[in-house]
Amino acid sequence: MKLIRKKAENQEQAQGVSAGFKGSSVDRRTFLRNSGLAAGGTALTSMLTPGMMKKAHAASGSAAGGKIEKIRSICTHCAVGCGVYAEVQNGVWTGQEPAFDHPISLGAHCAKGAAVREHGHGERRLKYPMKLVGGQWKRVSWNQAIDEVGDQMMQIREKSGPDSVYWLGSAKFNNEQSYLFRKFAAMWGTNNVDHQARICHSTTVAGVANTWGYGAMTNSLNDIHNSKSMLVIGGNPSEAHPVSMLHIFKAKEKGAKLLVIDPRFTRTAVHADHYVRIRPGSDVAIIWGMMWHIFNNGWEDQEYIDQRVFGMEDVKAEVEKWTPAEVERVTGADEATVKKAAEIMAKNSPGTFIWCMGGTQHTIGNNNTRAYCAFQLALGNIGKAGGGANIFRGHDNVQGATDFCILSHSLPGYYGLSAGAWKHWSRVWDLDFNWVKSRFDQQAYEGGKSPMHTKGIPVSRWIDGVLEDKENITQKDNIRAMVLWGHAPNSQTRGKEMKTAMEKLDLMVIIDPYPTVSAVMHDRKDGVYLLPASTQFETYGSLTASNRSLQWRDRVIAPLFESLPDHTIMYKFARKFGFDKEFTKNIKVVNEEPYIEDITREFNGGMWTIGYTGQSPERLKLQQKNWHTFNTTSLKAEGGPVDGEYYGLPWPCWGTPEMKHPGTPNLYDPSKPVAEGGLNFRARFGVEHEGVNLLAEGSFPVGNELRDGHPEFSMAMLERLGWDSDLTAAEKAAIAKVAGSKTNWKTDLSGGIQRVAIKHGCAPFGNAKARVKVWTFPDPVPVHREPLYTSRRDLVAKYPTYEDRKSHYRLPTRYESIQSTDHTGQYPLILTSGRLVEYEGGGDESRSNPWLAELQQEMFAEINPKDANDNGIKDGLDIWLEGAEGARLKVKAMITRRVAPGVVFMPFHFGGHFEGKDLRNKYPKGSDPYVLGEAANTALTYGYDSVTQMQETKCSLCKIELA
Amino acid sequence: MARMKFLCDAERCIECNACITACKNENDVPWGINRRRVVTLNDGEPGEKSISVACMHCTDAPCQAVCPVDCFSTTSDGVVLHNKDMCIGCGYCFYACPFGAPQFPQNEAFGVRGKMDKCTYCAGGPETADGSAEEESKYGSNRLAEGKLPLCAEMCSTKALLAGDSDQISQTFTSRVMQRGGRPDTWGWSSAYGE
Amino acid sequence: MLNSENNTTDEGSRRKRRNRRILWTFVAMWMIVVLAPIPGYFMTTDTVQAKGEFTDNPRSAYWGEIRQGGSGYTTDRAPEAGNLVNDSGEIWRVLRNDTISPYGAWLIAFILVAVAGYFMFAGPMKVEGELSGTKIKRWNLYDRCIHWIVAVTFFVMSISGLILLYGRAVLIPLFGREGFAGLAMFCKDVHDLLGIPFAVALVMMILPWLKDNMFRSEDAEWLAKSGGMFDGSHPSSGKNNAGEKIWFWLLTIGGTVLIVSGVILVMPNLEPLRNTMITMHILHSVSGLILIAVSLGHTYMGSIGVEGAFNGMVTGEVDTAWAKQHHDLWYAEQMGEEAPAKAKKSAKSSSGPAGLSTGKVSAS
Repeated sequence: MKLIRKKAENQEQAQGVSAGFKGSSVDRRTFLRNSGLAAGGTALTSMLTPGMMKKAHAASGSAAGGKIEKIRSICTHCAVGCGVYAEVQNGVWTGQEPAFDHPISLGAHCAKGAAVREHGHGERRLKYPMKLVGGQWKRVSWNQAIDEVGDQMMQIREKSGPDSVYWLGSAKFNNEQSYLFRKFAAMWGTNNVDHQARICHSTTVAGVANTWGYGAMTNSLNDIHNSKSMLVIGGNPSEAHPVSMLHIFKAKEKGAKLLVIDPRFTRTAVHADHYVRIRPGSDVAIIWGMMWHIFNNGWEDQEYIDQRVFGMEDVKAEVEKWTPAEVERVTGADEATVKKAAEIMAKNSPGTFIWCMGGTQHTIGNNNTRAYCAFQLALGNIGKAGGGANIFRGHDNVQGATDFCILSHSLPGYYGLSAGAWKHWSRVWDLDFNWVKSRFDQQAYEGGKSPMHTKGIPVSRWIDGVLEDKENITQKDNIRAMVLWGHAPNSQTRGKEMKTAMEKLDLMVIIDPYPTVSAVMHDRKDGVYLLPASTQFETYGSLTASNRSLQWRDRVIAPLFESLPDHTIMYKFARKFGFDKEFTKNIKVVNEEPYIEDITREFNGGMWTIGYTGQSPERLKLQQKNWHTFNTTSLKAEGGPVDGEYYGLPWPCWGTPEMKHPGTPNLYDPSKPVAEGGLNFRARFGVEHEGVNLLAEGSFPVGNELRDGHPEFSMAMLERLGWDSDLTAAEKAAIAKVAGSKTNWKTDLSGGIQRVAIKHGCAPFGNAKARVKVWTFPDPVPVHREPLYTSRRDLVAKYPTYEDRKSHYRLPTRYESIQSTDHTGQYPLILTSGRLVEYEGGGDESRSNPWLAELQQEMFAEINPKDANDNGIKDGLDIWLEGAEGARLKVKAMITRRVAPGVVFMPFHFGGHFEGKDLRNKYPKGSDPYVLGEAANTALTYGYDSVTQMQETKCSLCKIELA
Repeated sequence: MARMKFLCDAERCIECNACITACKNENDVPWGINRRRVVTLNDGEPGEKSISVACMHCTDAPCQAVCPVDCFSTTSDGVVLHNKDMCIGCGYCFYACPFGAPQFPQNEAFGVRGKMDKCTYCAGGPETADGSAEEESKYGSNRLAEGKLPLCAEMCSTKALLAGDSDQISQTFTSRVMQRGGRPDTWGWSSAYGE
Repeated sequence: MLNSENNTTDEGSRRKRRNRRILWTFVAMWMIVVLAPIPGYFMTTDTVQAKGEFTDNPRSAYWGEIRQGGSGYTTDRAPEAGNLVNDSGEIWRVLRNDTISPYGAWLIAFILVAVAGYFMFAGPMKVEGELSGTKIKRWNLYDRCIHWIVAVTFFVMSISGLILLYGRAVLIPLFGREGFAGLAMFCKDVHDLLGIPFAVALVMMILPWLKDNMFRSEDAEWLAKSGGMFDGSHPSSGKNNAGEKIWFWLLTIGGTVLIVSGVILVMPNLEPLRNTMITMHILHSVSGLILIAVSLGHTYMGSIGVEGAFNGMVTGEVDTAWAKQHHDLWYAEQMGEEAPAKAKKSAKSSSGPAGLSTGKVSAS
């Protein structure tokens, strides 16, 4: 029986999905499980892709059934880190069960998590290596692909230097692959390496780390149970992190107040006790507006500020300017609404503060995130259970990939790019620093520094790295080859220019389980390679959830089709380039696959800064086997083999694995000893600034023997305190080998300094104040600045953007020159973007999953009834949406009051249509996602954060008209 | 005797659609058939509420009452199942069901609808052996026989969708309502409903 | 002549008006029968809803709104998927199960009993006096073919429809559920497919027969005397008597309803709304049941009820005696005569010339 879907459109795509359903004698799952049995008949087998057939026949089962293995894994979508129980029979993923005993998700899933078993089908996957020849996709072998790509890269390297090959990595890598990828780029000899964190939370990491030390979520989802109030700004966890709502509702039902501030009345706002609608891009104004009420009513926690915060007076001075009238003028929120919001947070303590892309993706993203921090510090909410800055991260391992710094400005562990950092990692890699250095372009460009020590081009700007005049880029040549390794180009703005850039490149290499929009959006005829990577269910390793917990994934199924795990592909390239020996010096390689546990152990030996050192594979695996033993609020194991440890050994998990540090559940919480997960703010910015003490005053973790603020630990400090005698001989020897008494807690490869500091109750990184004034940033105290494409010309004079910059991450970056032109006449509406629950990121993976794709089949734009009526648009009609830089998208109109008048919203997960053109036939046959649509980012415009080069996706301009 | 029911807590449902994909996943439901769906009322406006709905396994099931071939039966757990061998695809159950639960794989001229498909409460079919390959291909999984509840409810992201014995789930729901103070306290409720 | 002409015109228009009145009265009565029970169920639902509003739960208003058929957003793209709760199915269920089925059964039973009773009481209507042996052409080949096509398809559709409606109650106890399901599946397919020839044939039958089925003045008397069923009289009648005309119009109206509702019901691909399908189903079953019931009467009359009628539809020819007795005006018309002035009062008085061969009449 042939089944059809109810709507005729997209019918072709749906075929195959419906194959062998109910009513026929056997379904696919049964067929696969029965493996070699003839039960399916030819009709059914023809529906199966060759790889699946291979898979099915390879399975050894003698009869239907066979033993069901229950494998523990973690969902590969967002960073909540939900547990997955995969049931595998004869090597086929036949079932998925809720992981009720998983401490974070408690069995819950969102639409995406509940559909991960489809990865075991992978019908729309990229099945084998392919290359574009004369506009046609041609199948090639892995060896041929690696050889051809490798040779071309070596030629480019020869002529233009290693910086002309861009290594764009992925937050979909697990920790081991992330670490290996950064190491790989270092050995290729470039800092032109980056990943999605640049365009999701880079401003968070920069802003937060510069405020109190570490740039990560401070508490955990489970800890929200302890909150009395919850503020969500620029975030929509109902769609982006649905399982987090489980914890938010738990708090809410215990009486906590939920406050949502957002330009859209989101699915989260629907459940709020209080909702504040603001104009996109006015985050600083609304935060300062709330703090105006806090300061004027004396609601701040003055004792906390005195002990633990530096610079609050400067913030106060800025906040003074944000009177209720001014706040209303800039944000649109009236005094009563703002005051009520401030009161909810001030009077229901502790309160947690949740933010996401709505706050970060702005030209002033770093100002926004620092304003959020200042707000929480004023209320004394950081370093408390139930408080914290709960920054929900996006991809499943974006926290890990960030920590391993697949970033153009740092080496793993945020060591930076200084000579000291390179030397530290050379020691960890057991390589000669000079050899590592020799891999780089030896000329000097920016400020006399060689490219080894200058920040590479960030992912948000790679198109400018291709298109900008060579003279304006502070490296040898333009980017000539792009490696898009697990990246969706449609998650980036300026689609039209990206198309041009793709066409200008000498070589494009796309390494991904899916062809992605990168395979089709350009009009290239050759020079494009598609290499099939496995998903994370086809390999294993650790990953870091949003709350810094490391979880261990087991392998669910063998790689499908001809796909290979990412680290195997890295090794293949390393061997082609001739540095495989150095690359895997301490790592066993079996069948070209670097051994995951060895990689974990290698980074355990180097990631001292953020405490990725205690999480050995053995400890992580033991926790995974015992994830049912953890308390679901505190995340602390109660009894059992991992008694007293926190789930996932949330970093910092200090010292060596042997030290058995339990992990740090809430950052900067002095109510516990450091040895048991307590902490204080990090002494990262010196001990004083302009004569003012930066160290904490009278605040310290329980058991701190110094009983006050102190600088970070070094061998010299231990000696001064007389604590060096606590070091073992081996530790002393290791310290002497690094830099003697200059060795500090970050470079001591033995972990001795950390161990001794913690033994005396001290945090190895010192005990300082958080700073709300970051004197190294363009705006030391966060200020409001209008977006480049602002709808409010009347505010530009008072709140102008920055001046243009000549070299920011190697590239000229424009601010003022764009803002100076008034576009509001032609483009009267604000354009913003965001997420849908069914899809993730660029959506190539989730749109290829029929269970998800069926739910959202069309790209749309949300338009307020007023704007719709003004433009003669009716619900469900096709419209042309034109971005302020001229890109035209054909999308469906969805008329809703969810957006305010004057604001148009688009989800950014769609791709495969370009300016009204359907690119389906450009995909390699059989690997086109079920659902295609215009990419919202095609219409989004120029605009980059002044510190991190974060792209502006949340406020631009557009116009709409009936198609 | 247990009476299995679904109950959706509209205060918690966030329209994440996990119930839908969980159902597709567990029962290999093809494109075009939705045994479960989530409906959001007042979408995008104050008072917005989402509710997940599927076959409610009614005690006095209208589908059962109108079926010309009497192919429905209620199990001892109170689950309403239908026999696909007997189903003639007439569509009467679809007319009668208040929840729009019955689904048809085809929708062609001359009344060709195929065998009706609907939520089985993950309890397989009425006539097939529990957990057999035949049952799985015809009706989907039989979790109830394995002592498990429907996957949609088990995987619900916020535990809004409750499944189980009607006494137990209504107790869970009542205690939540009591904890909330009996009254929804969300922004815009008063303006939406004039309180 | 002028006078008489005027008289004829007056009489003609009066007759037309009267005919129209009869027609409309009949339609109205039919509508009342069909629609009368519906308001009752609407009222029942109202009471249920009203009860809910007295509670204090603020959600009750919300759920009330949903029960009213409030519609929202959903990712499900099926028509009306946004409709969370649709009560109308309950109305349909009650109408179908508790009203239409039992009353339909009673109606059919009533007709059957009535016909049987009449047959036993009065026996078949025989041609009074001797058959002349002379045949007169009453139905041409087209008429007969189309009649039998309609009759056979109607019969099959009736049986299959009745099986679908009553089989669960009547046949499942006999065959068991599995056994019946196969039959029901067959019936459904037959019913769905045969609708097409039935509809086409019905239209092809109705159109040419329209002119002979217009109500005329003599029909009132015919009706007043119930066609002589009880007093043995033979009221005057044209080609079709008033009873046959009523049957014709019932078939025309009911058949149209059946065809239109049936087409909508077998076209789920056009995605009609659920309420539409429910309404169509009610119209379909009510009109079907009425036609089935009345067709029993027609079948009786056309077979054992009236001697010679069946042969007339088989061979197309009737005995002149039969024609004179049952359709005197038509007979006279066929004979090229003016209707005898007194013919209306008593067909007995008319004694047509026999043996005249006119082409329309042939000796047997």
